[in-house]
Amino acid sequence: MRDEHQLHAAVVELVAHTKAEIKYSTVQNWYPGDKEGKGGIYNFVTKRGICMGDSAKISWTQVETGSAITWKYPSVILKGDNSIGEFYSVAVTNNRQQADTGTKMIHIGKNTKSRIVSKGISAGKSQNSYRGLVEVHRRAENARNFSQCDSLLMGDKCGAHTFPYLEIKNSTAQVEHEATTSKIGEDQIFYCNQRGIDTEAAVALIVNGYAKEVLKQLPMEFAVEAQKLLAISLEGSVG
Amino acid sequence: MLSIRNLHAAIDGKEILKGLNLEVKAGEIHAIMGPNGSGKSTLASVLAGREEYEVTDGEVIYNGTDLLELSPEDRAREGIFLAFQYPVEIPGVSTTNFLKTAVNEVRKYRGQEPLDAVQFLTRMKEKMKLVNIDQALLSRSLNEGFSGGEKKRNEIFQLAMLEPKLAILDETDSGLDIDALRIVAEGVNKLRTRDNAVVLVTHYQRLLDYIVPDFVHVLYKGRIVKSGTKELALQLEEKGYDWIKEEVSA
Amino acid sequence: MTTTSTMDKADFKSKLLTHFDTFQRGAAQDNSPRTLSALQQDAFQHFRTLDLPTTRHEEWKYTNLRNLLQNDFSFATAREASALSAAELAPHLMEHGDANVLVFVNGFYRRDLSNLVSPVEELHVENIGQAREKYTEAIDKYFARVADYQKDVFTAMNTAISDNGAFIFVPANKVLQKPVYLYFITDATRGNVVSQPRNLYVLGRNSQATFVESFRTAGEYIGFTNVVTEVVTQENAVAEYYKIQNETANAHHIGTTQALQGRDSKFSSTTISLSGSLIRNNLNIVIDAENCESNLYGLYVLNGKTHVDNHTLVDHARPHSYSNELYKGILDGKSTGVFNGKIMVRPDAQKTNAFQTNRNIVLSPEAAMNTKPQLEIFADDVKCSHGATTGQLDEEMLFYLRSRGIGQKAAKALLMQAFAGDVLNHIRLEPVRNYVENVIQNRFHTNA
Ligand SMILES: Nc1ncnc2c1ncn2[C@@H]1O[C@H](COP(=O)(O)OP(=O)(O)OP(=O)(O)O)[C@@H](O)[C@H]1O
Ligand SMILES: [Mg+2]
Repeated sequence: MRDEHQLHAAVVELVAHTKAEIKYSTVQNWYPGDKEGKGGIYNFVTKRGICMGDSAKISWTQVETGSAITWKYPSVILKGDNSIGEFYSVAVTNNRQQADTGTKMIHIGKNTKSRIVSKGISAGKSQNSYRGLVEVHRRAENARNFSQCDSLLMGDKCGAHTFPYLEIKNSTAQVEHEATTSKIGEDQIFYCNQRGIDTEAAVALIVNGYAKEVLKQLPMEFAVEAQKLLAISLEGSVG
Repeated sequence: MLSIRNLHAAIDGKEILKGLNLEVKAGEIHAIMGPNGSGKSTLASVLAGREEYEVTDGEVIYNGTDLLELSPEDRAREGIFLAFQYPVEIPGVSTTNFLKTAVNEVRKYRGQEPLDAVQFLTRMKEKMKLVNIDQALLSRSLNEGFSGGEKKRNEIFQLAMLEPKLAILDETDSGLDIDALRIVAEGVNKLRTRDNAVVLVTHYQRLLDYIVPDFVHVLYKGRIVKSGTKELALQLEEKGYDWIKEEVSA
Repeated sequence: MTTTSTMDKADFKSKLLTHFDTFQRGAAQDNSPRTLSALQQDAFQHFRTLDLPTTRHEEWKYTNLRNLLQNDFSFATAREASALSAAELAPHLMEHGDANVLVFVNGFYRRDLSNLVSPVEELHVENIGQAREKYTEAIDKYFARVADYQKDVFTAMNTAISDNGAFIFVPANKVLQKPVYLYFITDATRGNVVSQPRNLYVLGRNSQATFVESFRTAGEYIGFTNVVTEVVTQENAVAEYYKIQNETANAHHIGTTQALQGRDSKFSSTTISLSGSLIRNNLNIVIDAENCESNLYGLYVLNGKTHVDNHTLVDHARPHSYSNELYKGILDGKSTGVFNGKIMVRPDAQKTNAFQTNRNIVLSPEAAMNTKPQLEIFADDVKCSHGATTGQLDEEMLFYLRSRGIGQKAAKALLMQAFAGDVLNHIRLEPVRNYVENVIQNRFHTNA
């Protein structure tokens, strides 16, 4: 592999008209560079969608395991009444990787709904951030948002950060945000060992369980790939 | 079944177990009591194979094999079960899924066919009744957000599912109200057979009203300094540990 | 405006200071001179120097005491406290069945209206002022040791003045089979009155007990209850504590409940506020030992002009403990609510699990809710979460119920009951649950 970095900069735009539904899934495993952070892809991607018509729906699902640096914020503008935006993400970082990812949900139409489920996993000396905006415009009556941002830390040299922004300009909005941070450490692995499960199987069990809510959004054959990818990306990070 | 001879173990260079001896035979119940920090959990951890603890001297023979040579998962597969003083939480992994993995790994090791979904469920239902645990709890992430009592009950449920030969319960009774204590104790009593053995680590004589031990040992400063029958526990409840400490230093 | 408010406060305080003099001379009691303990003297000195809070005080930002403090109060005397008859008491009682009952009127113990059913091996009860003789060790170790009179002016006032209230001791290894119901009646039938009960419950090692404190005001005058309760759970003890407030529109309440937990112990608290003028509940839990469990539940169902402020603090000072907090509120009319919940995890308290949730439904445009969750975490291997929501009844659910033929009013009542159910289901004492359910059901069916 090479020592220098390459840049991947793509743009994806989605438009959903009345009652249309778009589901966009990505599994990304670009070269992350070596253990010391030499080489690897810079993955700077612009992804945005708009629900133009009433009752339109856009759903982003992503599994990010590769790249040296990832910046990516798939967003949905909820313009049509009753439209729905979703964002499901698993981002894994190991060694020296950095991922900064999240979403923007802009509520403009009436009765619009959005749902954000973000699962970050950081290992090694990596940094993993969630950065998201939920914006409810003045005339967006009865907007609903639910956000769940979880971070899983493996080891104590990595970092997980959550930066949620909530901008609510309409009093009928219901916005819920939940965040948790937990640690998978020797304790958990040992607990599994004590019940007869070896370390490799234990890591796979824990990580896939944690990311389940997102993985189940993927098409079947994709999901199986993604599970394997998670296990490979985290190889050697515990025990 | 288990014979521990002159066991010395250290963590971070600090010696915690200082020549511990203990014999456990099939069918017996042993209670280990002792002041905080005397080494009770250390003993449990060493038996289960926690790598942070370094065994510096002595031996542990379990059913004729050198236990200290085995990896933690192989000890479990050979039938050693530790109910943790502080059970860990694993987000996203349901107790059901976790146990299914564990049960089948153990079966694989023993050369048995894995249980299929139906067989596993049947077995679960049966054991759930035994320890009075809720389906709802088992579908949640393992121990996540469980109250202290729920965690302890879950440990006993796992004990029931895995049917070990030697169960070590580290303070499984701490933090339980009287009803939960009864359920846990009944669970343990029901699982008792002539072929398995139980080591109970506890601070409270109260537990021994429900699970009657054959032997009571006092662990103090890394050694078993006194052994007796259940009357010893009553004495400890009444008088505390000072008299034992005096005996030891005398 | 500022000048009047300082005036009021000065007035209230000078009245209190005068009262304290009278008290010291013994007039408030039974005309025999009282000797004050060094601790009471000390608390009094703190009371003298501490300011009565205004809304500029961060902890009192959303609760204005001006209306309360501008009233002219008389301070409770034992003589007046003896006036309430058994017949007048009856409507204030829950249908508690066979239980231990302690009645306090204006803070004074009414032995004649009380009844203890548990055997003395399980339950020791004394008036707090006399408890020191027999329970020297417990009083010296725990009384006013955890409730902070150095910083809280109302706790200082209570500590300095009150030596009436319940001292309860449950000996080691005893399971108190019957709960203790404590009724605190503020008798405002003859005039405005301040009552200041002071309680200490000590649960010995391995013991188990349940306490219900019910706060009621009789009469139409203005009542002000300033109560402090301290609960101590020693090693492996289990305490269940309920505080139920169903007061008159003129009742004011400032209360502090302070728990101190020993190793392996369990404390669970349920605070229910149903009506009153101004209610401020401070609930502070200090977890200074390993492997403790604390549950904090709260429910406030408010209408009219009721103001309820719940301030909670869970202070995790040692590793391996668990705390879980769930407070829910339904606000109608011109009621206002405050939830200020703080979780503190100190550097030593690794492996702490602490959760906090506050959910509110605001039914009327004139009602308001202020929520302030605070997490202060100084340890790195912990699990903490908090969530807060304020919203309306879910229109879709309402519509669904109505589409099945359930009328608007009944549908709303059903949803509100379900909402409150999350807290009510944790009430293990049936008489208490029934009592609360009845009050709120009547409320939902008449107001919705
Ligand atoms: N990781 C560690 N590093 C250094 N010392 C440790 C470590 N873990 C435990 N110890 C020390 O080992 C001693 C024995 O601890 P252990 O947990 O075995 O006690 P215990 O008898 O189980 O106590 P308890 O009744 O409090 O559970 C204590 O002095 C403890 O501080
Ligand atoms: Mg221990």
